[in-house]
Amino acid sequence: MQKLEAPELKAAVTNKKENVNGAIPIFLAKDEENAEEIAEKLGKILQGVVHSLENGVYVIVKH
Amino acid sequence: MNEGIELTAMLAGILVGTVTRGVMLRSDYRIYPSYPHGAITHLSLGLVASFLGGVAVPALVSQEYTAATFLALAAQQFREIRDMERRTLTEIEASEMVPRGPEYIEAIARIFEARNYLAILVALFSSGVVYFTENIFLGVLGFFFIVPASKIFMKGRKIKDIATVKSAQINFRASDLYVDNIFLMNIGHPEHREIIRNKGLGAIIKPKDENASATLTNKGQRLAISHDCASMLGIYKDVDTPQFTPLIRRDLKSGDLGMVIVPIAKDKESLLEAILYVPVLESSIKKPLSSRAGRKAAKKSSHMK
Repeated sequence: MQKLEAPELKAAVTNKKENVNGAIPIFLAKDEENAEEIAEKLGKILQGVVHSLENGVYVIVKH
Repeated sequence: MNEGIELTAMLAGILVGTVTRGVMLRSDYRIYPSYPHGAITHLSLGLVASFLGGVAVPALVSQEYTAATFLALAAQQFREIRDMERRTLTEIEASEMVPRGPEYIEAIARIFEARNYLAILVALFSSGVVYFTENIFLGVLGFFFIVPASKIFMKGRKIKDIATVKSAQINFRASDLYVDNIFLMNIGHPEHREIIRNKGLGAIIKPKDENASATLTNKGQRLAISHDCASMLGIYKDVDTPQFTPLIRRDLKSGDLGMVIVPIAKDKESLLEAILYVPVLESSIKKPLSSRAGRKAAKKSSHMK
């Protein structure tokens, strides 16, 4: 039987270093466009959803 | 003559029961497709069930009471059907793009179990009629009344019986996906938002009363709606694009459900029709209005609305 698991934060991508910190995989980008590209790629690789925290940080979450 | 009628009654029961089960085999596209092997299995089990039903009346009248214990043993065996269906469907869940969820699987498994029991009852009834009227044609005539009766009896409720559905506008507020005013999910990437905006369809499901509202809150019911709509309209999604999974979220204030789906066939009317005909799962049915506390709460909240 499937068990309902909590969503899991897999990675964060940003060009604004000051907005991220912590024990998760963090990917730093050159600028906003680059951050978007990296987020998209990671989303596909990790099979997670790309969310935006509106402060220049994208997070990849597995639901 | 006595010997003859026993055998005739039994055969009539077996025939009518098996044919009834055969007619019910014509599976709904919502229930998993009947592979040839699945159909053969169910028909065979239906035959056994009909045999048990058909043999019961003549056996009991001839005072062969061991037939009764025989029936009890069979009921035990038939419970296996539910397990078998549940296991099959659960195994294939992992490969579904939009899974059914355990509640829907349970509902399907229960339906197959019930159909088998119905075959027993139909066979019992027919064989009884033939035995006591000593008229084989009455037994066969019974078939023409039993089949539509059992079809009506087996019909469950659909979403159209408990809610109304209308198309709704997909809109984004920054990264937040909304359908009309109901928040669904944060979609971070602008390209994903474009795809949803261009190819997606939105709908709002309004429950007709508090009972319906409670039923639609159930996650299993909502998963069933997503699964069925994805089955019927196709889904623009692959394993690496989970953001295009159909979403259904509840508006806490009104109890309405907002839904977004990115179908392969973008047709508003088809989506509404697909939603309306999703079966209501027995396990998600709640009836707060049947209790005093429930009715009181409902009255109070309708004053406040």
